Amino acid sequence: MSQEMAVYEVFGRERKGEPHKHAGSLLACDADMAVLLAQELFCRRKEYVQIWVVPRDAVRQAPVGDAALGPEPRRLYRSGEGYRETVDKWKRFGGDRRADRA
Amino acid sequence: MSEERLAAFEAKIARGELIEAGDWMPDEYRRQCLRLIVTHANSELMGALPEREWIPRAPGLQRKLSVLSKVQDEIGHAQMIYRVAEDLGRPLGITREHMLEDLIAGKAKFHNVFTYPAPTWADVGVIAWLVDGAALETQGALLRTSYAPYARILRRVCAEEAIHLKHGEDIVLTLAAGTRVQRAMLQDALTRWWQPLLHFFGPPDEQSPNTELTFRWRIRLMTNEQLRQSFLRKYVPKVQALGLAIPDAELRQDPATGDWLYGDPDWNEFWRVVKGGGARTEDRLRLRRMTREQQLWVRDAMATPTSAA
Repeated sequence: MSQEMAVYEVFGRERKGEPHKHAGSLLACDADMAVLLAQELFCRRKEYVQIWVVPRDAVRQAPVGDAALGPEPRRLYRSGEGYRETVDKWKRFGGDRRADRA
Repeated sequence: MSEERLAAFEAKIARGELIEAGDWMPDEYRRQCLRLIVTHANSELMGALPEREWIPRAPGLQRKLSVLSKVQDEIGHAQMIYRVAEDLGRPLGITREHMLEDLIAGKAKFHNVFTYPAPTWADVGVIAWLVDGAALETQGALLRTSYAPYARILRRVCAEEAIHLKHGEDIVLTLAAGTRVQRAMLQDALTRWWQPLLHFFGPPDEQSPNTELTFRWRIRLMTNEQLRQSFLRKYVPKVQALGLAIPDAELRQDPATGDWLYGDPDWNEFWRVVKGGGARTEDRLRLRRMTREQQLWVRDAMATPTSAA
């Protein structure tokens, strides 16, 4: 029996080793049909080496960096920028040899 | 409250930010986007149907495969663009069924160019080269629209339209280098399509309705006349290089601005077609109704979960 169509989000991996990216969405009666339609709609020119279809209902979205929590602290310790002083600290030991950059 | 929301929305647009499907937007923004997007989807569908008639008649296997692939692309575009429209229409209670029903009832707009006959193979070439070229001008400008889901799907649509254009260009170049009969057929097709091509971009800016909000909200970014001039600058020199005569005695380029000045392309005819009075409007809608009926079993089969089959 036919049933209600549901929205599926389609994600595609463009090359091996790359992450999947959102391609678009489609209407289908179930996941198998969604795969078939996604191949027809989004993969006519070998755009992807692999696709995912996900029922839209299964996706939860949330904002990031909500301004309501107040100004964002500068979390420098999360980035390389927070550790620049190592250059000065190395001077005591004759400077950073930077073997990794040589 | 709603005035504050509107002000925040307009500030967001002014900062060049994009609107996503779940974001708050004024109903009028939603309606204007929806009108634009549904007309686009309808046009993809209505353009594919007469083109499909050329698959068995295309000369040679390569050309058949090209037309077949173009038709498949256009139907695919319709599917993807209706999907974007559905998400926009949902808060207004507008579904894909409504859009398709309005179309076959003759209540919805689709592009004027799809109401004209394409009697020869040269018409197929001229349509794929110049009508798709014109569509690429319009759609290319919309890649920067403020409604992000439409912009994203347009990237794919434009990439495929660019291939259709090459397919049309190849047909036209072949005919242009062909026999006297082939060249005459090409000239006749160009003569038939020139006025619809000028009409393609819509009436002069001062006669175009709904423009103020559309531009303020960055739904559209280029006016009808800007798009038409962009098209003419690209394609008039190419058409002339092929030795074809453009059927407009007044056509000339303004040396100062580079703009092309053209003779009035009968805007009464344009409005007659917009209101559903095109030469093939009824035929094409009948074809659409027939297709919809004949393919009911396919849609039914596709709505049946494979596990239950």
